[in-house]
Amino acid sequence: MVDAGTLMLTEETLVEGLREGKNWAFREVLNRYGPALLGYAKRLVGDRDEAEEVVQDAIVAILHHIERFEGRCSIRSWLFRIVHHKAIDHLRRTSRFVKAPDQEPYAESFETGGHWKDTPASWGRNPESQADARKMLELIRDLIEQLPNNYKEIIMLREIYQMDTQEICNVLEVSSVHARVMLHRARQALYKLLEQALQEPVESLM
Amino acid sequence: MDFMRCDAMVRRLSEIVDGEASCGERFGFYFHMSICWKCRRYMRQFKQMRTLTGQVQVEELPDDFAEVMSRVLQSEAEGATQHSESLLRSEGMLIGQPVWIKK
Ligand SMILES: [Zn+2]
Repeated sequence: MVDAGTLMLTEETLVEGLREGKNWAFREVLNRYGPALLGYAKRLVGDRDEAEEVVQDAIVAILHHIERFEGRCSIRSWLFRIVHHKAIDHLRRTSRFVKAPDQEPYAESFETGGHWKDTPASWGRNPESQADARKMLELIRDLIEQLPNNYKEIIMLREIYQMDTQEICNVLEVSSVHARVMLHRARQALYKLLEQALQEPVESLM
Repeated sequence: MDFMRCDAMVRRLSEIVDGEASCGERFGFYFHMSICWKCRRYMRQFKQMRTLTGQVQVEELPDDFAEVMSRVLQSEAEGATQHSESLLRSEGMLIGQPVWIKK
């Protein structure tokens, strides 16, 4: 019945269902956004159990306040925003919040005239090769964890959850200029980590 | 944007690959790429990294997550009923008794 049609559910119907306290609406929120939220929270707080708590808190919060939902942003942005706040709170409380330095990751790679000081290293990987691609994918997944929190967040929102700049602004509550600068710095920081990792002997990647 | 400077190209790379740069900027950018193999290499690897990052798997929910959530909501509602039912009512939590807080 309702379950069969959940794929076709619009956001309005979902919000309506939540307001009326429908079980299917609650399940649909979990199915639709739960895994993404959990992945996001886990990469931010670093621990699966803590991440589950953060996601639970976020969903409880959204159910508590569904009456006030005005539809100016999506449910997804709203949920991610709550997880963002809760995760940052959590990290601050446990003194684990790491912010990126206020400097471009590649500021020192160029001469005063604007040319490369050193040639950017070739990764020596063949992107067409499945083995290389899989190895790099695993490496990237691990390296994301090493990024400062604000870089980690924006990389996840854009690359993994495919949010556009506007949605990222809604989640992180920053201006679009700020979001673009941060996204680019985050990608460059990840690139730098990847570059360093790929320069290590091949054995260490195995 | 100074199209002869590599640092200017690298700084705008995200806007280019995300399709957020203007026509003029794109033209200047690709002109620079046609004459600068260092930036070309950086761009190629940057794009490769971006594509791969998009393939990082999202987490799966534990099987009992919905049940755990229901319990969390239930205990929230029960605890709150004793303390501040009126507050929750004002927040819409208890209006019409949402089914997810029933067993
Ligand atoms: Zn160049």
